Amino acid sequence: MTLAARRRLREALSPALFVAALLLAWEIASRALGISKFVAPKPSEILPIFAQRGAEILPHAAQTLSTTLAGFVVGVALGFALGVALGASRRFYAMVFPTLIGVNSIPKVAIVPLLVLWAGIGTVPAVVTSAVIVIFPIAVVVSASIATMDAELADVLRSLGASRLLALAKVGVPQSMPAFFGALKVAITLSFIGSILAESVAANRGLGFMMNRAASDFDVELVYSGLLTLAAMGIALYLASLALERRVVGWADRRG
Amino acid sequence: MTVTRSTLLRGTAAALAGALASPAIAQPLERLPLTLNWKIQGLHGAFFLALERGYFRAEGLNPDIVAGDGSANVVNRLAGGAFQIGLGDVASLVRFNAQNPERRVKAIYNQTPADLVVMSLRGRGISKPDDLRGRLVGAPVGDAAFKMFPAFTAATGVPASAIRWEHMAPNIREAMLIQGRVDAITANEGTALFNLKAAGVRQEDMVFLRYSDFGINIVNAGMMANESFLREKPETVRKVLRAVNRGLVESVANPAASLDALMRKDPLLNRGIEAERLMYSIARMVEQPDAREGGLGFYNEANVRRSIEIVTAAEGLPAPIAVGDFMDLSFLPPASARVIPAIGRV
Repeated sequence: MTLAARRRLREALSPALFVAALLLAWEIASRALGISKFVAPKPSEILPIFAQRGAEILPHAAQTLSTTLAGFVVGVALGFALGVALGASRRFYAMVFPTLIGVNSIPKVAIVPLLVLWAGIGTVPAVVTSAVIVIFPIAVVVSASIATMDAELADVLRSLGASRLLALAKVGVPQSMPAFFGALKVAITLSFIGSILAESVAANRGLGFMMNRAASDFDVELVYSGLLTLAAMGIALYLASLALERRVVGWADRRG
Repeated sequence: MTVTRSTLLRGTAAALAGALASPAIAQPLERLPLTLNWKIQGLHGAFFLALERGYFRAEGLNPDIVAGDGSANVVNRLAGGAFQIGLGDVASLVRFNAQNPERRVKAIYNQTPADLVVMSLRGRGISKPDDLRGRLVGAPVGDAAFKMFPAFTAATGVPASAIRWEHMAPNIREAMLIQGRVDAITANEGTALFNLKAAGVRQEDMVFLRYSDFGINIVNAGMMANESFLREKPETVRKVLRAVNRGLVESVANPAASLDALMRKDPLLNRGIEAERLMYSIARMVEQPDAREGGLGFYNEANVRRSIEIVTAAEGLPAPIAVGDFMDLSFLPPASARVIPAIGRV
């Protein structure tokens, strides 16, 4: 094995080893301190649940993943468009930004029950909540990045006869990409929070619903297996965005 | 005289000594977290009345009374160890104690029986159980009436599979019924009735399919405590029950005082609705056969056994638990302290 290959393998394995070490520490601490399963069950009590009741968890996980993805895509698209508009126009920024702050200050917990009354139970409120929750962080980061676009490059382009729009497309947007992908990672976790929130207020399917029902049956292990499933799905989405990021803005990563 | 550091110190020491010698401080109050079953409302006034009037202090207790987030979740709060004693849905103990015999939670004081109901509104075409077939019924997953629906099925012949269930959080259940997003809801009558009233629905426009009309009577709100706590601190448990019992007896005799204590605790409550809710709960508490037989707090063993059997069958548990694994009445105050007084006016 070459030195480079060995290094790549080590890099690929280290996150998995870290998770394994965390679970092991949890198991040991839980046993040593005699923590009751109603406070936190041990990994050795939770992990077998996936083997025994995987078929029960799967449809709920699939529902949550699909609503989250749908909300995530919609929210990121809207957030990006909004961010570009905010970053490009000082006047639009001054007009809209205070409202945006105000709207985002409303806790989503307070909105979801209303959404349910407007849109009914199940998929729609989950998608909407998950979308609404990611618009803001994406828009803020993208707008800040566009607003601070490299003035020299933009001037050069404009002196060559490019329109403002073209300068934005050729300089502003590409320059905002590294920051955009950073915000994307925040958005992934937020969109899961959004869909789970909506599912636990009103849904007949999804991990939020499953954990609610399990909690009412004192089925603590199932609740925690739902949490671990969510964590795993979050990591999977993160890895997907990382792959995309390497393709799109690999040029920006300066780490050795 | 000039004030120096030493005279100040001496003065403080003297004041402290005087304070320590006074009987009020001689015995420090025992701090104790106590969980309620739901957000503060109705009969909870009894707990705050007991607090205001010093019934707890007289027992040497300083309880920290905390609102609940669902009566079936109280057992989780106790099992997790953050609380040792509280007011909750004792019917949930049937499943919990069957599955966790090493850390039982026991019912120790009976407050009110369950008032399980399927509720609808006039004009929705629902007046008898058979009308529920094919309809949309809203039910929070942890709702007792939803969980006990198999018992409703056994009594009425309407299977759960004939109904289209919609699940939501309890706090939006009534709104969904009013909006017409569901045709009916499962609930505790005392909760849904007054929530709907507060939302402006007239009582004559409500339709009630009461489980009790089909012979389904089970236990519900009661004081419960960890078995380990009963074993380790039996005196503390007796003291808590004495204070709570005094609060409840006084609430029956003097509902207005109980309501005042409640409103002082949460001034945002709607006094009119809470007055009605309180009188409803008091009536249910004193009219139940168990209380008529043995005074407030009493559980009739045969009734409890019947409750355990209904819950065991409805939740599909392997075998009913023994009555002795469900409750322990040895901490009740003497019967003379639990005599039901005449119901006062609010």
